[in-house]
Amino acid sequence: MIQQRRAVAAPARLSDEDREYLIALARAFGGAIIFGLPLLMTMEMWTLGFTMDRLRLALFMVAMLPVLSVLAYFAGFEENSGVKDCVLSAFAAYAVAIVAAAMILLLFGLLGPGMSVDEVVGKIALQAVPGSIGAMLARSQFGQAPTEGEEGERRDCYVGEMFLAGVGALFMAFNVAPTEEVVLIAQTITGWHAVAIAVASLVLMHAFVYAVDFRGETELEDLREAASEFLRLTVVAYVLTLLIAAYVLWSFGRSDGLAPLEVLIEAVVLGLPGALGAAAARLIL
Amino acid sequence: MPAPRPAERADPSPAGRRAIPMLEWVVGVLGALIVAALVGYLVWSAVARDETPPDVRLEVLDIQDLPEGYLVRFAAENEGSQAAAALVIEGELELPDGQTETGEATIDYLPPRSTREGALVFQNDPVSGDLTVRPKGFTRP
Repeated sequence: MIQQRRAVAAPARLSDEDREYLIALARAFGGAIIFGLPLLMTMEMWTLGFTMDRLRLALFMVAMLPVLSVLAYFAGFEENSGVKDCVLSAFAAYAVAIVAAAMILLLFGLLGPGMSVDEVVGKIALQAVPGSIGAMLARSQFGQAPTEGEEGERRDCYVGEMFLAGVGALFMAFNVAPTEEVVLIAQTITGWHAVAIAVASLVLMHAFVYAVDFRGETELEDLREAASEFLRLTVVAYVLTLLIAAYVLWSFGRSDGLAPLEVLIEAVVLGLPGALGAAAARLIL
Repeated sequence: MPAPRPAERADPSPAGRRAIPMLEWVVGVLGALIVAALVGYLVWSAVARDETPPDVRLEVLDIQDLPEGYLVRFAAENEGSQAAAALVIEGELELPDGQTETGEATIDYLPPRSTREGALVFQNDPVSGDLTVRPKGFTRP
């Protein structure tokens, strides 16, 4: 048995580099499944796979490519250097996410005979979006946390922080937006509820920033500095979150045929999980 | 905030630049091809396709004699290019004695160019009468 295995392994001698890469891919596969499962088991996601506007779905997939490439720079599933490396990583994460999504959908009998190519392609393409984020973040979630070293340094700037906040908001918003509940909540609450949700989002976000104190030296000494932190980090991240929430809602067709005010309320509702995702991204990633 | 730890492993290549291994190229290019194919298909299907409303075709697959009645299994195929939601299928059985019996089933979603199966239950033997199965109505998802 042992001899046999050796005989099989011998011709395909892997270099250490390739072996490490394969391990990173396997980890990415795990990340794609763990982060993707809640949505893989959400009924609305299966429906959206064939009801969602084709161009909006295609646009989302394409828009994810630069996001994933930059994410590969800050927190890739393997350490990256250089633009080419990051872009390759983004495509690799997509490949892993697509395989993972197809596998789980098949296991649950959500892909099968009698379904058109449209339905199969749509279901897989849609699930690949959250899966690819999961694949990319696999290393920072299980395994070596890249908070130290080069990646940590890279993030330690305003743009890096805002980008990660945006990814956190996107991931959380994407996880909640497919459900009918967002629309239902937005339609039943009063304007005062919406205002309270926005205030609560800001307070929670700022509490995270304050509590985590992610940049170590930043002691919030006086009121002026606190106000500056609030404006520069919390408010900007919240506005970014609302924009991302609105984009996700539009992509899913949740804002179609609604008055601007109704769309805003939907964005505020989805903005609450989005804001927490944005704030927590600094903690988790 | 954890204290900065010394690098656990020395960077094998100087200046942080390294040649990208073949395997990473293979996986990356493979991913690019799959993504291009998916996006290409989505765009093509959006541009090349006319938005015809759901066009439901019904076919009776078989009729089974069960203790509780007769089961009429049907397949519904949507030949339009839009999905139908809450699609109601009605079966009407006209018996030789002039009476009619109806059965009803609802399909949650019927995607374009796809098939879903269901069944209607009748008390009387559908073979003995005149059975018509038709779509009754649906909403747009």
